[in-house]
Amino acid sequence: MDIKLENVSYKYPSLSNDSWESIRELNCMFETGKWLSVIGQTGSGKSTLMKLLKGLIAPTAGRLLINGQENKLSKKGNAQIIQEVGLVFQYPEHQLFETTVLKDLAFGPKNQGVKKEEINDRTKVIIELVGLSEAYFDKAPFELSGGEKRRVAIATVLMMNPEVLILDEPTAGLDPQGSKLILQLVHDWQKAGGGQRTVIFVTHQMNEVAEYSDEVLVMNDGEIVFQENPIALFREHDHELKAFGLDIPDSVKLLKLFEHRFGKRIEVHSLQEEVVLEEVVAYFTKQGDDLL
Amino acid sequence: MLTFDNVSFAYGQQAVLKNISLQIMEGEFLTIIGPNGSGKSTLSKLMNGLIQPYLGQILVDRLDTQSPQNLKEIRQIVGLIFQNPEDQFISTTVFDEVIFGLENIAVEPDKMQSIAEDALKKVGMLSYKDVEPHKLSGGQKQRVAIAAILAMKPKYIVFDESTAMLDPNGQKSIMTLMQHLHDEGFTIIHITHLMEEALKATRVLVLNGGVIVAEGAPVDVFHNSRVIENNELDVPLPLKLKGRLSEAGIVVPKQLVTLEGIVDYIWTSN
Amino acid sequence: MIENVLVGQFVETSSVFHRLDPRSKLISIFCIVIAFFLIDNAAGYLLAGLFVFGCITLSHIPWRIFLKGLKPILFILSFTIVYHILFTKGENLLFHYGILSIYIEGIISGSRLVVRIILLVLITSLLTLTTKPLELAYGFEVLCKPLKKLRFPVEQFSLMLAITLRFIPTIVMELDKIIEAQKARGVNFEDKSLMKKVLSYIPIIVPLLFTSINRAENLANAIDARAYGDGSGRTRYKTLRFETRDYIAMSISLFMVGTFLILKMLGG
Repeated sequence: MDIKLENVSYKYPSLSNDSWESIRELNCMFETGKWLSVIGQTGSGKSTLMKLLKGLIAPTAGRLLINGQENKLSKKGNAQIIQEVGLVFQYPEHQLFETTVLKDLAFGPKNQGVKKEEINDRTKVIIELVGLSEAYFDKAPFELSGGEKRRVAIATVLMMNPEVLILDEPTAGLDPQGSKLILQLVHDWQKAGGGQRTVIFVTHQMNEVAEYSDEVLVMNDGEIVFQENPIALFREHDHELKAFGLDIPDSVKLLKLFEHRFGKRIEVHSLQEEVVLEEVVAYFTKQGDDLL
Repeated sequence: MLTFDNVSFAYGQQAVLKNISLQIMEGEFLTIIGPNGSGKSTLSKLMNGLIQPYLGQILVDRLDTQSPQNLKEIRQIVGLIFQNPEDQFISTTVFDEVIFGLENIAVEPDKMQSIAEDALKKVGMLSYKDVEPHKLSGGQKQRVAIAAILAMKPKYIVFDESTAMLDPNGQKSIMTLMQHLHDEGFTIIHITHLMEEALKATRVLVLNGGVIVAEGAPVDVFHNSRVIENNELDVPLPLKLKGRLSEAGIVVPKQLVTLEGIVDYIWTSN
Repeated sequence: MIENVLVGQFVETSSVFHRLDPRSKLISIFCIVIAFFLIDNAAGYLLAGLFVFGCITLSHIPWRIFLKGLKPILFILSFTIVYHILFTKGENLLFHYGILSIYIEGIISGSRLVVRIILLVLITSLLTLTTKPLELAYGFEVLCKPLKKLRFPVEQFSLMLAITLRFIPTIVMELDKIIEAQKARGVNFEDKSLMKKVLSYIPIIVPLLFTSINRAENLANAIDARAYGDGSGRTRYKTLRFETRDYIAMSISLFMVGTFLILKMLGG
């Protein structure tokens, strides 16, 4: 499912500081099957964008096109939930409320009117996907560990079978191991969709952006200032990003330091730490050989 | 000096800390690192008597945390900054928040204003004096929490994952502040699960499964790959780079732990 | 949603009311509320109206803020007046149609009640608009001090009051977030049947309860960690002291009670 924003603005009604989290004249495209990361400082409008894409709020100006069609239901001032979009809020475990994991998983699809057998089938697939097992079905959500709760909460959204999955800082407050598991499960979910599943990943962690992103969308003060592939963005625009209060991934720092010291640019096809390390170390060892 | 002598703690049947013995000297910057559920937060709550050990003894400057009559003094000596910025802001304005602690330890009312203002100045929040908490960012709220502790003139400041819920800029500002406070002579005890943050410490303690599994200077601990792998710690890129280089036969000196340092070293040694 | 919550809607101006001790304000308002309940004739209403008008003018707070405070009770007011007009029987019939008969007495008693409610709301809003919530809580604490002899935990109660006021915006924001999240999970709040409507709020109430309990635990730790103890032996930054203006305010209020008492006796 392609989502396109044309001159979309949203202004919060009657808030005292009116620039906070409002967005102005956004033009962008969320293409089917891609992993898009959204970065920007706190208050730059990321959360507002997420809510617009889910149809929780309607643009105060501009158009939202889904597969080229204007979302008729979600015209000015008349917000209407978009079923094909799944939205995982910050600290999503705070929204779990049922007595068992199984019931919480079934809650979303039930609201959508999905049949019981279908819900049953989905729960089995989804619980495995988030790295848990059917043994968790009868546990109460509040007796799980922090990381497990988070994964169950994400699972409740996956249960609704979205085509587009939006995650708002899904690793916030987790330890490195827990964060890795979340990234991995989102990646697995996307891969299982055969190129039809889109991920929109909002984060403050640049190292997470470097992992899987096809494109990065940079927001500043309610506007989109960049939409580019991560390699070009972080390698060429680090100064601009700094001006927006944003850092670059460690892997890019290494590439830049290397380039600065050795006067040579290493081309990489990915910013994943493993890939960059390999390239850099290969160059160092080769250089050592040359010196011998 | 803060001493743990064979301390064990359990929530119900579940042991959280097992036979912990530990001494924290004045002037240290100690980082306690470990995965979620390793017992880190329990350790911090024991330090100012919020909870009592199940076995063993904790002394804060010779005061036993198990004697109720010591608690007021202990809580003034050991300041605790929590993880959630929202839930430790008790008052309705920044200034009142700092005053709250002063009232608790019975400071004379006419001295309060200048003490509170000095503390707010130290953390750069004086100009927000009359602001209400819901108008502050997470990082700003944490700085107010630090000011509130500083006003009570503590010796030890314990940061219990105080950066975990902040955005990167908020995290950086709190880390910088921690460094300043250490330079000023406060003893800093920092609990975290981020290894990059732990590199700033004078001593690191790795906690897992309720026991201390490693201890020492950050460079020593983090070069011990067994410690890293067995305890689910995330290796920062500089250390990964060093590991790869040494596999390839290039040995970088131990004390170099930044990307800059490593790249520069290779460049100059060629 | 947050902008609709007007608890603790303190408005800063430099009026004499702002400078009054919270205790004298509490005592005065208490007296005046009693005085207003004594009113039972036109002269009394006129005097009370003038008094409230004078006070509001002196507070330098714009009238529209006071009027905004009346909005939520508009329904109660209109209900009161309609009820009285329809159901009060009297001697002077004004209008008769079928079973409907309206008496002049009904109109008068309805209007009187409405005027009294309006005056009471206005005068009590004057208290909350000119006093910071925490000061109010503190004034309350000091006034209730004698209750300590009866083992009533006055300090803790005052802290509780202050924390409640402090956390109202936090909880409202939390509520907003949960509602949005559950909407995203497909909860439909527009269901027609009452039963379904009630059930649709469970996914909101339960998480709110859980996060609030968690919050309360964290707060308790934060308060303990900062040496609050049992609340005794604390000093207070602001010490309350009665000034001449406080004695004047309380005298005026007592005078009002006396006046209305006399008016009532004369009228009766």
